[in-house]
Amino acid sequence: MRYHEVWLSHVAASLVLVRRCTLHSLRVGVAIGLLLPTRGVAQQTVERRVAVNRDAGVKIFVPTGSIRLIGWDRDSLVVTGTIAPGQHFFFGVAPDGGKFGLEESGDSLGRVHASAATHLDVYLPMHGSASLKAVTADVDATGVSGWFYTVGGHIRLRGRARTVEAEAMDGDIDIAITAPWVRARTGSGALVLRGRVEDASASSISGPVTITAAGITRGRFGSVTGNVTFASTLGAGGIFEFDNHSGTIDLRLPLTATGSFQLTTIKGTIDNTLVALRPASISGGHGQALAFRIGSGGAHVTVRTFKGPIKLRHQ
Amino acid sequence: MTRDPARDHPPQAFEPDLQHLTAEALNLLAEGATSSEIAAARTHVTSCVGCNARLRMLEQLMARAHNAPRTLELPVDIWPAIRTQIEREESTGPDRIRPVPVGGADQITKSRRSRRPFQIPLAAAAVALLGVSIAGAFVWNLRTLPGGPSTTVSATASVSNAGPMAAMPSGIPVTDSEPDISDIQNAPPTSRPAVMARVLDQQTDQTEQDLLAELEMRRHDIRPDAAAEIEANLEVVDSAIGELREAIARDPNNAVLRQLLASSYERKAALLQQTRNAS
Repeated sequence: MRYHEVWLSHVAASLVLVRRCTLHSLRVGVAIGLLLPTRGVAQQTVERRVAVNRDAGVKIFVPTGSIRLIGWDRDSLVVTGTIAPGQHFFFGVAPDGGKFGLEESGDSLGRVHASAATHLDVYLPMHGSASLKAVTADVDATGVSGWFYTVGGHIRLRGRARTVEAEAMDGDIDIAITAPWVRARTGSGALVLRGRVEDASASSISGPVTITAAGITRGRFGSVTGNVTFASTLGAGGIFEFDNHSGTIDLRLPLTATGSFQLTTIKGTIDNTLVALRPASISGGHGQALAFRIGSGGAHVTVRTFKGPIKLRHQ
Repeated sequence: MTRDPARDHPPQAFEPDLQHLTAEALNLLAEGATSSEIAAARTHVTSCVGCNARLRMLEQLMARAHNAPRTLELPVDIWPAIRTQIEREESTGPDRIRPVPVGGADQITKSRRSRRPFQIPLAAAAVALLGVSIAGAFVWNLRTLPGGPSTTVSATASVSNAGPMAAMPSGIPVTDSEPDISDIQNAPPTSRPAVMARVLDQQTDQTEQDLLAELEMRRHDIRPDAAAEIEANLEVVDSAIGELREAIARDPNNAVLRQLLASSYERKAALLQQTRNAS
C-alpha cells in the first residue's frame, strides 16, 4: 500500500512536470512565433565597392526612402546604406556601368513596410552619369550628371554637372547647379532653378516655377496653371520664352537689362513698372500686349499667357 | 556602300525603366538596320505592344516624309526685306526704349501691316521655310528628341514659334478630309499657313491619341497614387486646352493662341510620356 502511494505520487509529480514543460514550451513557441515577424522587419545593411571607368553610367532604382549621390574624382563606385524589410538589393555593375537598386518583394509575410528607414549613399565618378528612378524616394545629388525621376519624392541637385534632366510628378525639384544644360519638369510640385545654367528649360503643370539661375542664354519656362517667376539677368543675345495658361508670369529684371520684349496676355493684364510704356488693349479689350526694346542687342524675351497677369519690374 | 548606323554608334536600346525601347533604337529599326546590336530590340518589338505601335507609327511617318516634296519655291524674294530690317535694328541707339508693334495682337498688327509691307514677305518667308522644313521635321525631330511620339508636338511648337499664323488669311475653307503635306504644296500661297496649321493639328491629335492609348495600356502597371496624380494633371491640361480651343474657334488667326495651344499640347505629351516612368 505504501509502495503504491509512493508510485502514485511520482506519477502525479511527473504529470505536473510534463504539464509545466508543455506550458513552457507553448509559451516559448508563442514567443518565437511572435519574434519571427519581428526578425522579418529588421533592417539590412548594404555595402558594395567596385572599380569602374571614369565615364561609367549607372541605372539606379530606389522606390522609397531616400538616396544621396555624390560625384567624386575617383574611378570607383561605392554604395552603402540600409534598406527596409521587404526590399531586396540588387547590384550588377561592370567597369563601363550597370545597374543597382531595390526591389520590393515583401518580407516573410509578404508585407512591404513603410521604408523611411531605407537610405543609400552612392559615390560615383564625377565624369560618369546616373539614370535614377524613384517613386516616393527623396533624391539628393551633388556633382552628378544624368536623369533623375521621382513620382512623389523631392529632387535636390547641387554642384557641377554636364547635363541634368529632372522630372517629378507631385514632388518638388530644387536645382542649384552649375551646368550648361538643364531640363526640369514637375506636375504639381514646386520647381526652383538656381545656380548657373546656359541652356535651361523648366516647366510644370500646376506647380510654381521659380528661376534665379544666372548665365542663361537660352531659356524656356512655363506652366499650365502655375506661377512663373524669373528673377535673374538676361544673357546678351539670349532667347527667353515664358508662357502659361492662367498663372502669373513675374519678370524681375536688373536695371541694366537690354533687349527686345514682346508680352501678350489674351485675357489678363500687364503690370509694367520696368519702362514708361502702357500696354495696348487687344482682342476687343479683354487682354493686353506690350512690345518694346531697351538699348541695342541684348536678349529676346517673349511672354505669352492666356488669362494670367504679366508683371514686369526691376529687381 | 551602305553603312549600318547601328555599327557606327551602338544604340542604347532600352529606356531607363528597361521595359521599352529608346527612340534611337526604334529609329534604327524603322530604318531597317540589321546589326547584331539591335537584335534584342527587334526581338522585344515582337512581344511588346507599346513598342510595336511606336515602331509602326514611326515607319508610317518616315514613309510619308519620304514621299514629301523635297523643295518648295519661295513665293517672293524676301532677302532685301530681311536685310533692311537688320540694318534698321543695327542703327538703333543704345539708350532708347522703343515701343514696337505687338505680334499676336490682332488689332495692332493689322493696323501696322499696311504701313510696314516687309512684314508680309517676312511672314511669307517663314511660311516657305516652314514648308521646306516640315518634311524633314517629322523625321528629324523624331530622331533627335527622346520619346518619339512627343516630337510631333514639339514640331508644332517650333512651327508656331515661327509666327506665320499672324498673317493667316481668314475664311480658309475647312474640309472633313485629313490634310497632308502634299496639300500644303498644292494650296494657294495665301492659304498655306492655314493648311499647315491643319496638318500639324492633325498630327498633334494623332500623337495625343497614341499617347492616351499607351496610357491605357500601362494603367494597370502604374501605382495608384501616381495614376491619381497623372489624372489630376491631365485634367488641368485638358481644361486649358479646352479653353484655348474655344478661344481659337472665336479667333482662328490669333498666333499667340496657337502658340499657347501648342505649348499645352507639348506639356500634355510630356506628361503622358511620364507614365512610362511611373509604371
